[in-house]
Amino acid sequence: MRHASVATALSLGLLLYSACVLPADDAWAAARAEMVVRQLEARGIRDPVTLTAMGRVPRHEFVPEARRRQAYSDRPLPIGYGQTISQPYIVAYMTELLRLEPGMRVLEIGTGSGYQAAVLAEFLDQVYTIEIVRELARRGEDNLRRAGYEHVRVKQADGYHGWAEHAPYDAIVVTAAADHIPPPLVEQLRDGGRMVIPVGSPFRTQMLMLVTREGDDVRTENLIPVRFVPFTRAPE
Amino acid sequence: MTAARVPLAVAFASAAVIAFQLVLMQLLAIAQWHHFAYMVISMALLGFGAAGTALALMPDFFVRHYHVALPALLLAAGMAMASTSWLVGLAGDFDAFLLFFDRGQVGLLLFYYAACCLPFFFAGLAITLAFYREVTRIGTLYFANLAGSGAGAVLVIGLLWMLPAARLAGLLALLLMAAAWMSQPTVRRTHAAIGAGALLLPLLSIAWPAAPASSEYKDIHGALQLPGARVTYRTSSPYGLLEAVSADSQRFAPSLSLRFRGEPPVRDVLFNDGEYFGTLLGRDAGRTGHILDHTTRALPYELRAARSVLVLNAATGNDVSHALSRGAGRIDAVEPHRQVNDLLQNRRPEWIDALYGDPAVRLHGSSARVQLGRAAGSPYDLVVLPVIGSFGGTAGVRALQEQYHLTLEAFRAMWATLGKQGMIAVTVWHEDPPRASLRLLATWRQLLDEQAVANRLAHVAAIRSWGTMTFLLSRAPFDRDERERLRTFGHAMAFDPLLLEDLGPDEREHYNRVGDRAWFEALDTLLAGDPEAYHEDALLNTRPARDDRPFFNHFIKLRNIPQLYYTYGARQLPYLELGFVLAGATFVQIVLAAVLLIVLPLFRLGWAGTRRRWTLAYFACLGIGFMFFEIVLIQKLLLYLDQPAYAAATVLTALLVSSGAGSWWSSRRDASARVLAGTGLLVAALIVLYTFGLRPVLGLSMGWPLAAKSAAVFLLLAPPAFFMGMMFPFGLRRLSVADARQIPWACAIDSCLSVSATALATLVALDAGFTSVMLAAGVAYLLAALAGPRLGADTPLQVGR
Repeated sequence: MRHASVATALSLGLLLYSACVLPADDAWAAARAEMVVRQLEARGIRDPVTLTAMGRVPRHEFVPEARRRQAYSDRPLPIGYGQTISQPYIVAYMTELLRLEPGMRVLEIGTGSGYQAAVLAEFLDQVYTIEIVRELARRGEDNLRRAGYEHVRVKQADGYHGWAEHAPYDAIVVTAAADHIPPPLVEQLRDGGRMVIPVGSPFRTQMLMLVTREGDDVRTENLIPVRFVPFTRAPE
Repeated sequence: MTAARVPLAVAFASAAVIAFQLVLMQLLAIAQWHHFAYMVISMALLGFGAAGTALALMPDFFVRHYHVALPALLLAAGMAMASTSWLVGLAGDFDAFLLFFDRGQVGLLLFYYAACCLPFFFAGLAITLAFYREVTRIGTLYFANLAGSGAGAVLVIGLLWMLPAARLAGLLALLLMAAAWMSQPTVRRTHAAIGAGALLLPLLSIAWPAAPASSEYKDIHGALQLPGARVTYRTSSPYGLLEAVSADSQRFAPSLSLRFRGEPPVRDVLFNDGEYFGTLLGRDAGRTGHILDHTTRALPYELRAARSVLVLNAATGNDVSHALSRGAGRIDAVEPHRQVNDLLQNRRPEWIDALYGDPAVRLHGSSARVQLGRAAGSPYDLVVLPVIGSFGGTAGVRALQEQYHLTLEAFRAMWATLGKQGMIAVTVWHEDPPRASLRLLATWRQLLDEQAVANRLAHVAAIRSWGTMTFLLSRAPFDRDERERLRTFGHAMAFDPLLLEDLGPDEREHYNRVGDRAWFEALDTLLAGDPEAYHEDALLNTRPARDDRPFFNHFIKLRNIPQLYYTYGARQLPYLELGFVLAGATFVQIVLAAVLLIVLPLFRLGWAGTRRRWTLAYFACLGIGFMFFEIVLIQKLLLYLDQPAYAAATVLTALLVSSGAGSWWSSRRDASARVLAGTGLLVAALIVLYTFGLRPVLGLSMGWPLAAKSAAVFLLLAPPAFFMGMMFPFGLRRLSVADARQIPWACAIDSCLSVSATALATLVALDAGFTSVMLAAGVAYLLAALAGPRLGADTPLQVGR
């Protein structure tokens, strides 16, 4: 009897804790809507495809349990293994730069939490994502399945080689930075295709860069200075 | 033996504590970053101040139980030392890089402080108690304290060569246990049992060493996450923890041309304290040529033949390999990390295809500046400096690092070693906001002005890729053919010319657009316009670094902090120059804690009484003066003694042993007002003399072997240190006559101000230079000379015996 009382009290306590600490679904939706207005539209994100996708993807499903309350705050969050889930604005900005259109085929290098892939998959059917860290690939894929993005293809592999089987790509988004832009990725980019890459590593990322394929030539453009943690600087 | 046991115990304890300080510094630097280690150690050293405060609050208790308290405190210090790493491990989620981002980290940081503080607190309490209880022989005890500390500084350098830092904590704890036994050799059975039980902790710590959890944002963590990655080699020394990581997808292709269609080489990488040290590239004679031929670093070889090359801070020899592949017949590689040199030259030459065994290559295990001094008279076609910055920037963690190879004086020395067609090549990673490139140009502008070069634009060339830019400074102007070769190379690699005498308006952004043209304008102004006007208006300080202020990566102007805060925001600003922010944060924390520790005893001592302010002034000045002097000497002698570890060990040993001798000698002199004031004035005068006279004197023996240089330093530093060592015991003896209860308080003041001075010296040096810090040390001793006579009362000679 005494055990039962303790168990009941504990269960009630947990329920109460969950109710108080973790918001309900409609509260998450409200937080997401506020994020779109205050963090994205207010900073100049105009692409309706991007805004719609950002308003639909449940970012809290891609954030570690311990940090869910901060899921829609204007900041990146650590996801373990020295990686981060990018600040919402950066995800939106990179997505907008890709100029998404129906039927496009997009490759992401660096699945991480899976959030960027989910945003792309809101609008596109052909989204491919590669993660080199085995644990992150598994976790990212779990997050995507749980949130209902079954059509995203996830592969645990060295992103350096791209995913030649499905090339060429209309756009490539690189979220895990290396100190060089892999030649195979440039080759797997369709003529006129665009690649967005943050030049730098977490905490030290300095510049978001756009790489454009023009025939055999490649041009780069430094876009905005960003620092994935804890930078919140708008484009100049 | 009975008379000597307490001084011996004090000497052993002092040796253990100073050695542990350096061990802890290395452990924390491996787990986090050097500047974080510096912040934690500074706070931990306040344990000494807290010890003085504790004794001032409960003097009767400790004095009544002196014979038990002394060994017990030393035993407790040993136990705390042996378990520090384990205790710190309890704050496993702590990460210094999250400090300004996650508030929960602040609580973990405080726990870090507390865990690291304990051994210093217990040992400090034991030593201060001995000073207080046996003040009549303070000269001998202070000598034991200083000489023990000096011996500890040398001991730890030797130990770090033999054992990993994690095992040393337990070993040093045994020294404290030995000190406990010395202080009370005749023990009861129960005490012996306690002591034997306490011995278990250090022994366990030696057998199963623990180390603080390593930050997952360190470079090596990224490498170890690659599939199949493994550490293939690990060794430690005073230079740090050296590790080699092997992984199938670890490629070397820094800022590679986007035209490159080959396969970048997969290579192992060396990490020092978890940070990237160098890729083990070897000769790299691949099908597509040398991989660096596809980066901006190939620029000097594209413009001119380089038969003789000097590679500074060669690390794992990648620039040496590049020079060899481009036909250099004489290459002098300079790398101060002698452990790496030994590894790559003798133990594992195959790692770099025996590059350092090539007849054309000579490897020098010295700093860039020492080698430049030796190289005078043998002209080079090319001097290659290490790449500045890193991919994605450094987050400012190197802001406080002295970089004597990037000062104006260093470039002057490089210029002097160049042949008629010689060039200096520097590659810089892109960064935002741009600053290193601007400081480099400002330095070169000043150098060209000094050399009376009229057409400066003709002597500088630069090219830029998407990631890096390579700058060239040439003795002879670049001619038309060379300028065309730069353009041809740029087109072939999709690089843009950045600086060139006849640069067209649209040439700078053909392949790589930067968006912000203000940077281009700044580069042009610094090279060909009015640099002074630019420096006045600029948000960041990009004036040339000098030997007096060798902080190439420190750019923040204090007066512009509000504007930087507005531009970059509260969260981002710390990461702009993390080292500087941590130094400032350290100073603020120390001052707050120090004020608390100094004020607390006044609740017991009472606030009234006129002499307290002189006690405060005298011991504060001693703490500040000694530490300012010590820190500047370590920095200044870096250039002379070549190696940071040797410079620190030599200066510490010379100062502490000589001061100890002065302390011992002081017990034979009256602590009269006249003697005290005279000693203080003499020290102040010597400091001023050394501020301006030391370097020229040392310059005469620059080419001597290291042992002879160390001996010279010891002899040169002995006179001021000897007299400095007399000041502290003089002060305590005067206090013992007037009001002995103030002795622990005086010790607390001296300890707290010593630690504060360490942090303050760094901040002052950043903006005002080392000369100012040194002169401030002189002023501190002058003030001590004025305050001393008002402190306590004259003591007869026999008190000191």
